[in-house]
Amino acid sequence: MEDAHRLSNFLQPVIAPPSEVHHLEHSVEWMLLGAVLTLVLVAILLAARRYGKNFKVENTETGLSKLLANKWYVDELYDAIVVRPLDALGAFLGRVIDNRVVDGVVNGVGKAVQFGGRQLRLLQSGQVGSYVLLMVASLIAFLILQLFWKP
Amino acid sequence: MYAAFDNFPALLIWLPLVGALLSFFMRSETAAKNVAVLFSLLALGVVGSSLLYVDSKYQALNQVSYVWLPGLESSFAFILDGLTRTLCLLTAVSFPLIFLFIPVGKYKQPHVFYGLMMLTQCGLMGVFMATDALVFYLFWELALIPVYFLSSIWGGEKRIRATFKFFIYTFVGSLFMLIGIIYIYLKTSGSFNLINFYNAALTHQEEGWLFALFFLAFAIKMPLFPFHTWQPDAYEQSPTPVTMVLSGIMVKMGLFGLMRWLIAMLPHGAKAHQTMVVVLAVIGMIYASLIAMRQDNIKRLIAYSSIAHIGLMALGIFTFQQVAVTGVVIQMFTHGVNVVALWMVADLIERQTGTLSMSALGGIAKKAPNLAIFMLVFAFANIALPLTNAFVGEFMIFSGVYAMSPWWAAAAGISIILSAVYTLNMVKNVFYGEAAAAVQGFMDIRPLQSFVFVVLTVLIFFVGVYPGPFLSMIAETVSLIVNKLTGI
Repeated sequence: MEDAHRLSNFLQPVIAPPSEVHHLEHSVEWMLLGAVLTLVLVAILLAARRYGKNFKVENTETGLSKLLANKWYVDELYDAIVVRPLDALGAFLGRVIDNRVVDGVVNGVGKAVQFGGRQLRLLQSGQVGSYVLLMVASLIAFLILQLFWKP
Repeated sequence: MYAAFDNFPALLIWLPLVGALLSFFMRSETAAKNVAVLFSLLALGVVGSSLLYVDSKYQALNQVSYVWLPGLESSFAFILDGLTRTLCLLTAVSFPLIFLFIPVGKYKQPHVFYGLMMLTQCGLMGVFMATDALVFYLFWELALIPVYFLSSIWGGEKRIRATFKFFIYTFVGSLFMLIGIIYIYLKTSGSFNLINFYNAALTHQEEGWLFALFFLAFAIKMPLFPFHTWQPDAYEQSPTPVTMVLSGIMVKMGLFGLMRWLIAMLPHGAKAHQTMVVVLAVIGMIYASLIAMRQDNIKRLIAYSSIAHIGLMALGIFTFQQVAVTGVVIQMFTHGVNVVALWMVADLIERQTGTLSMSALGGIAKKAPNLAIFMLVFAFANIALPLTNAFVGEFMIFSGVYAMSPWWAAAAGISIILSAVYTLNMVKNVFYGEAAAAVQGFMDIRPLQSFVFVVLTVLIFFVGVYPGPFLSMIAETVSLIVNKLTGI
């Protein structure tokens, strides 16, 4: 089968083949296993003594237990420093920057063209006198430019 | 120009065109729809069978050239290579699914609607396959014009304003590109052929400002921040099938243009402007993601999410790294599939409840569990979870970006986190919780819709689990592009 190894390297252009894999010593593995088991047993014994037969529910809403009951206030912290500022930023970008500034520039180009067209249209008044006046004014302007302006 | 139908590119141009003309002349809606479905399926069949003939010994099947304007040395020249095959496949897969999804009686004058849709498909195929600059420009506009009519006839309340803006915006961009095309043409030996354009005698300074002309056209089309403001309005106001074409396929015209008609053609210009584009792309990704978080309308949310995804793809292209650019090509395909799927779900919700406002929706999962399952798959694909299609592309893009600079990778990574935030938030608000008043009597999906969704789901997982064939198909074309940028 030529396709036998397709599955093992189907992502090959993306992921490089794994280099050496590290192995732990056997003694280290046993030691870790033993340590974990001891910890588990200690925890079970402690819990059985603490919450065993004579367990009463105490008021936990003080000090450390309140902090723990509220999960260290991590959710509230996230909410205050990440969620709400990002929400506000998103609303600001959407409402003000995108609508007014970025889109404003785009619409501004269109408006400027329309405004320019409206203003320039006024020049086409149909009155020959004003055309002649403009022509003479332009001639004088060009003459002055030609005579006095040396680049 | 007369046709020889013994090659794939000619068929991919002619089939949608003939389908469009036939649809225009159909009397009844079912006839028009059947013609559109038939011809788009034929196009899919052509792309599908072309996948079996990728080898260079079949070159005659994948390349075609008819003389068009002999005096100008412009010809109808098309090629089907790894890059274009992927995009043509996306186009060919999307159209029949979109047609099947359109409910009967939804649009007045359906024969015109289907005809214009097929014409758009013809334009898209031409843009992707053209190897002649003038023909590329011709099809670039040919794809735009039917969309203008589709949106301004069948769109929402504010359709005229939104469509006009979209049209003017993209048209201004493409006129700048036309100036660039003519300038380069005058610097070649007098041919619009892509190879001649690649070899045009241009100074570095000329490449610099030509880059700006082409980049503007492509950046508007993608759209890249800050040229994106036509997009949320256009997506919201266009009829949903048109929005699917716009966001699923048409925006890929811009990304495709960057690869074939910009960085490979003006490598020095691209190198000189690399930092600018990278900065724009990263800003756009974070900017659009933050705005997406605060959208109440589902269509606008998907629109901004799309801007963020496109930003990532533009970033990938401008790393000029083989792995990232390959990732972008595959991501262009998968983003198309995923965003079309999301629009379909949004359309189903709007059809039944009359609203897309998240604050008025909720609890759809109770009424329509099947729809909810599909939506969750599409949402996961939008976030690019592993095993979904988008993961492959995004991973490759990110490894390229990381190789360029870990800092840019970290900044861009923020937008990935944010995409999970707004996508899952939308799923939660719309599908879970108590059933809102608007969703009472919500019906689950029907068999035909299920079929469409199953096809999309299969595509999502197939590309996500087994991207190998795609990657090997794309690799050669991408290395041709990337090699033009190395060593300069």
